[in-house]
Amino acid sequence: MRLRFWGTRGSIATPGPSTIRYGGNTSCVELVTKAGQRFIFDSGTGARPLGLDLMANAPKPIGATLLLSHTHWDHIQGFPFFIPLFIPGNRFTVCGPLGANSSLPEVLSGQMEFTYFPVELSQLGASISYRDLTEGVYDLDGVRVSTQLLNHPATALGYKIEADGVSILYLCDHEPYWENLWRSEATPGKLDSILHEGDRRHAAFMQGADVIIHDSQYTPEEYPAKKNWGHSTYSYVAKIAAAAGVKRVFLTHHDPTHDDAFLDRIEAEAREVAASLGSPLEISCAREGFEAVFEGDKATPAQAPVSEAGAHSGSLLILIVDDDEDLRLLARKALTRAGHRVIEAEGGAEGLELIAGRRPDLLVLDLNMPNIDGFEVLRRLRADEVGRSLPVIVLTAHGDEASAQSSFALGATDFLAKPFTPPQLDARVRSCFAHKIRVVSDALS
Amino acid sequence: MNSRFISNRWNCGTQIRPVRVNWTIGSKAQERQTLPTISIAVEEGMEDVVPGYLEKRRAEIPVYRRALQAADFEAISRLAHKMKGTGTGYGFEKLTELGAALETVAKDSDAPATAKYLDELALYLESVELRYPNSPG
Repeated sequence: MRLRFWGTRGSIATPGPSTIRYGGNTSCVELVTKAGQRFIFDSGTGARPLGLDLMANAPKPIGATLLLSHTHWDHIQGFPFFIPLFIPGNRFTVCGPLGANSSLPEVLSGQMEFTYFPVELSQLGASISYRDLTEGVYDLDGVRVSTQLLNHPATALGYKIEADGVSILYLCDHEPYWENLWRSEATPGKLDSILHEGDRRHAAFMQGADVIIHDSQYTPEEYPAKKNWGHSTYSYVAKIAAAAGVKRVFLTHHDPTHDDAFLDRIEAEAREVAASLGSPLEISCAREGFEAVFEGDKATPAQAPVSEAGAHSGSLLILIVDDDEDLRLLARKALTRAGHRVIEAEGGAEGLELIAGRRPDLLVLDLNMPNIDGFEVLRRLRADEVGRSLPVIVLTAHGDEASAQSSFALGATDFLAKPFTPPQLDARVRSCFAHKIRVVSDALS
Repeated sequence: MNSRFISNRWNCGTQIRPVRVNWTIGSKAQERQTLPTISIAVEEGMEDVVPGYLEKRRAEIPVYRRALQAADFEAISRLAHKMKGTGTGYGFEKLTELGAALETVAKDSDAPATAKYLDELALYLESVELRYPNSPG
């Protein structure tokens, strides 16, 4: 596959002399298979030069599959400036994660309302179809494309494309699930040393990949002030990719405040992190205009077996078990605003009764409660036929490693330390539920 | 008057969305000239729950003080732990910060430090004023 970076910047375009080597355009990456299938990851401002290049050099009519990680502005701002969309006869399929607040055409047309842009979405000449994706494996334009939800306050999807004997992943935007990747007593650099189940799943998704393109907006020093903003550090990326046996990493979604000299240092430090783990991983900061061809001898199924983690309309029945009335109220607000239905219990015993009687789709569980605490609820739940497969998000102010480890050991699906923000909780609920459906559908198939 | 903007922690990357939290620190009305006011904008959709949450925290100040007098650090720690978990979600990052600090010093049964953070919490709660930027008109 031929890979080319057209936009490597996060948040906002930052052209100028200080970003001339790594680039100033926001997220856009082009991937073309040997057979000519074209995929475009995101359509930040880098989509404009890509469009101009396609108009000049690509066979006509132009066709492509646009894979949007999510619809924050830095990932869609170049869409209205992508000239091939204006040309009748061109065909595009635009894919994005199901679960955004509005449908894909609604979001894309929102930034093309006359107040912001003179041409409306409906006036574009090309044939454009839209497809909502969730976690699963898809056949897109004859190519096997796997997806997995990322950890981002807005629902964001990571993509894995397998073709030409190689696998290439695009993983933007994503934040570590836990501040320290490894359990404190474990050997760093190994998959089974990863503490949080979410990070472990993320590593499993990229395991053995030839190339990953990963959000690494921050340095470890910057991260504490940006926690919960949905972005990674280069250190996290180097560690998790090394543990997953990835061959090559491109760090991307560069922070607008990081100039070329700063990114040189990030690249050097990321390489040191990988080397310290004894990994042969190759790491580079993505540069706008960089192009490379990746081919290998990995067997790729000619016909992708399609599986999908089941679309849900946002109307999950969610049980919140917490003895703090204010917390229940806050979680209820967050989840009902996202379209879910909520039932509540103020203690473990009442919670277990509601699980048996109401059969919720998902449980949000506090740990520290009088009488039957969250650990005991988990223990009883996992020993029970009905509760065994219920996705459980532990939501606790005890954000320590021991609590997280114990929760996962007892069968928690996810562990989120308070304080949380409503969009963050909704994103984790979607991820948790999609994962559960995926596990069930994989088992059935 | 001094003012500063704090970017909304819920936003990541760049969104077309207004900054929603605005603290304005400056002189207030005549009756409290010496006390600075801290203006907190209430997130859209949270208008019906934030005032009640704030009132509950204000009502807890005497509870904290009585517990401190009785050296009941367990009670202080429990209240502070809950405030730590909910403050940010209701739009009060400072309450999460003070909740964490109070919980830590209460667990150490550190009376002077508890009294200090309790004073800070009381002052903060007294200074907060809610704004409703999304209300019609």
